[in-house]
Amino acid sequence: MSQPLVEVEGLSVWFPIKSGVMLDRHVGDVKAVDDVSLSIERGETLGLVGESGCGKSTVGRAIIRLYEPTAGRIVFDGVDITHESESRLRETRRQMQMVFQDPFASLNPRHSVGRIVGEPIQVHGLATSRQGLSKAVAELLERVGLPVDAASRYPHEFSGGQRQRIGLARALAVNPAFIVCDEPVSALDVSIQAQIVNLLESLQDEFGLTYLFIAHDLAVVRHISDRIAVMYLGGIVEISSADDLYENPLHPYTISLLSAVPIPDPVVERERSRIFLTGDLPSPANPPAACRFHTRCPFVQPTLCRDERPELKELAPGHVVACHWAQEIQSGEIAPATTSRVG
Amino acid sequence: MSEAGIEIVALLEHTTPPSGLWLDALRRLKRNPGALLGLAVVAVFIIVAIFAPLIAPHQPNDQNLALVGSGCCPGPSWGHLMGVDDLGRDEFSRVAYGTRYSLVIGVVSVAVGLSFGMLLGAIAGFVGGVVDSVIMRSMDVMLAIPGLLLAIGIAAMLGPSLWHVMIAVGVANIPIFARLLRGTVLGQRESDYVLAARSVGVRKRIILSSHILPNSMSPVIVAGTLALATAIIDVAGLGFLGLGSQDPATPEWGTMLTNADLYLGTAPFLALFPGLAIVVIVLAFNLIGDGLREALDPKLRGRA
Repeated sequence: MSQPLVEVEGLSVWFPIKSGVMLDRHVGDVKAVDDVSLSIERGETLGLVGESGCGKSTVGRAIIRLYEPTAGRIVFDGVDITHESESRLRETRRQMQMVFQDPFASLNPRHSVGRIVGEPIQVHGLATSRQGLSKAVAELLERVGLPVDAASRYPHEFSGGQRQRIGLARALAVNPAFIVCDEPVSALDVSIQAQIVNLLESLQDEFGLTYLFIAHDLAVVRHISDRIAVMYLGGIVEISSADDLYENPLHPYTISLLSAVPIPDPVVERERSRIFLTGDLPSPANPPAACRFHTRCPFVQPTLCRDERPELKELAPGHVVACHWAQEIQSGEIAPATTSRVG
Repeated sequence: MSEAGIEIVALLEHTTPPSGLWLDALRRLKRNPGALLGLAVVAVFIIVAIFAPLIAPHQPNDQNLALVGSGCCPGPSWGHLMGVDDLGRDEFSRVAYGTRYSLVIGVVSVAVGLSFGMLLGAIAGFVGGVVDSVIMRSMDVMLAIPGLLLAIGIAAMLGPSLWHVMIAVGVANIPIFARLLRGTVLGQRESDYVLAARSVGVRKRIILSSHILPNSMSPVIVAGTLALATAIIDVAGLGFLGLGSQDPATPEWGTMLTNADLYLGTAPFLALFPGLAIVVIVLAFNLIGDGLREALDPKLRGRA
């Protein structure tokens, strides 16, 4: 296999908690991302799922260096960009772009759409003339399905789905190889979601793009992703191919996540047993020791779980999971403590 | 939404002319009667200030002691619409010329406060860290002293003169603008579109000047307009306390009030007219400021 486009090794992003009036005392860290490793092959879509606050957006933002990594290494296209300076990074940024979750907040309300989409082209000096710039902008707008006259209008004149198209056009403007899609459809109506997802897929085919697709909607992620990584409380608990993950989830967290997905068939829905997680996500400022999921895990065991942090182990080809008891859970030797029937 | 749906929306949206946020705000300002009244009054004051020599029937310092020979002071009459003061000077002409001073006072004081305040606030908000702490703690020290008292102190230190009073009032305004802008810059700095600009690779300087500052200006513009009003009052107040122009001939409204207090019993109109002028212009600026606040409110964006 050729070298992956993006390689992340042991990435940690900690945000310091400070207190004090004059002199900020460092009183702790929010461990938003703690020791995450993953790699993304050229042309593939890696889905990244997890509940709110598990650090999935932080991973995306750290990869394109919007946040400074506390530890770890980020290698993009064979180049270590973990500590690259802002000016050197500018070149790399032509290759990697981002699409944001909130289509209302991610566009500068005082800039026209033409200026928003044209800005990356100007920053990287990709247009030689004013005509060249407006032609490039018009082509981009057309490609994402917006009317050409949108260029002279302002973001507040557009709907959420149209704004997300503007954001996509901006990301495509520099002809990148890699796009981080940070919950690009979570803020949209379901009907619009499908449009944007289809657009993302056709753009991927056309330009050979690589995506990191961050989402909490499991159906959307399964549809678009080749492989999926599941995050819990700042760490990755399972990575596998999309279909394998849905058919054969190994980590207790993944199992309970998938059991929460409603099945659009009332008979099946009523019959199946579901696993309910109790309690809230623990604070990432003070995460549980050892396995971070042990406080909520329905399969929790008296040994190991509270003593040792599980490493990612490959249980099947291309299917890695961070659980001490994954094999026993898979074989049915260990049953969940709390299950219940719906209805 | 289907492709046809997008076409329809595009058609519908095309019936309203394309516009930026500023034009949008201007449109809303034009529908606010209070703001229009304020603008009209300020326009009248500006016209009076520019054409004072044509409007005023007398020179502001032409004395006519014969008029005050039988005691101070003859009240309003056809020859002297607002009466004459203790030296027989036409009060109307003095109030008209005083308009020039008041407008200059307002603009200069606010310009001093706004320029330094915005510079400090933008640096504090954008750079953050120690720089932010140092700047904002010194602003807090300035804010701890009541504004007018601070202005009196600065004016007294610089020595009494109208220019010094303007500078003093401006300096007393610096922390207000600095704090306001720092707050909005801090909020904008972490917003998604700024992150988007960073991920595109836009230079920091350009992010500040073309993304953050234009989106942080609305509250500053509102506060600046309102500060015009308070600056005029403050300067008049300092003038009344004797820290303003030391030349009693200066037809500045605050100084005129100082001279009038000796004759409050016999000629109250000498205090009434400059006082009324101050009230009207301050009210007008306040109306504009409130109108701007509503027009620039993002929550009302896009409404009629």
